Amino acid sequence: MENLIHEAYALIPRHGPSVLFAAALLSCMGAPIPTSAMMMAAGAFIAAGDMGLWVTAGLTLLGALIGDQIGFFAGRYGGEPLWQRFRRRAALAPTMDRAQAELSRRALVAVILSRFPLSALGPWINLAAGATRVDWGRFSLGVVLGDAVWVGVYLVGGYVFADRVKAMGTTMTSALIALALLTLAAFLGRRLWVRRHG
Amino acid sequence: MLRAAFLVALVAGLGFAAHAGWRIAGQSGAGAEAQVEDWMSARHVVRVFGLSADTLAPLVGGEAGRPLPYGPLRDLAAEQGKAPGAMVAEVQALLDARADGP
Repeated sequence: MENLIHEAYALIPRHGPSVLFAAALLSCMGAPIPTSAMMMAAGAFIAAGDMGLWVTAGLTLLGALIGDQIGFFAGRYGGEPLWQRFRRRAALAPTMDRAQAELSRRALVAVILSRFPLSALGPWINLAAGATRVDWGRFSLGVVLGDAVWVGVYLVGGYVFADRVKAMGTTMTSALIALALLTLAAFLGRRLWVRRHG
Repeated sequence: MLRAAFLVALVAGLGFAAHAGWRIAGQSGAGAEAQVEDWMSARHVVRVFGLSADTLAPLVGGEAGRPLPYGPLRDLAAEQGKAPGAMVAEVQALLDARADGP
């Protein structure tokens, strides 16, 4: 695994920011590419003067946005007929309608959280959002906000901790998961408080 | 159910936060990357290990006083007909000599 990550790191100074564009695009479509770790390394190469910050951030963000949109429209045109076919079964329809309404209501939060702290879910959320006809504008807003934080946190993290990129990869992942879980806890805690105190 | 979900999210969130905090605290006083590796660029080596570019330049196919060549050490080694491991060893030896020096 470490060798694969080193191969991925070596591509960055060899080909420049275009590698980050391709990695972000493919990983947002579901390919198992260590894009977060590559962004950390890219931050370190930016700090060393191998690449420019804004070009790298812009191309990475663009790749992620395009990959997410491809997933969304793959869900819209490929997944929706499948969704409707299952929905025709009377036993499944109420549950699927509830799931669809819930995803539609919380689309923005779900999309943002699945961009960076729970990024493994991102490609699946893209497909599900497309298949369940989540509003494209809300999906896109969530994707822009979430991807911007994802790209920014890892590139800046790599820039600041350029001398310890390998070790910081796991630290950043833990920090982002902590942020997501504590946000969820705050949300659930608020609901508990409202339920108890009116 | 809601209370259980709240507690799980809170405990797991604090656990991950503690893990991240512990790693950051542990790394803040420690040194940087310990070893030169072949995915690093020449500029990255200069930045991380505090070498001067002019000292490193002859080893990676550059010239003193000029910008260091782009690319990972493994590519720079290949351009000079060396094995990547050989160039990494040379750079590491330079660092070790500096560490042992007066």
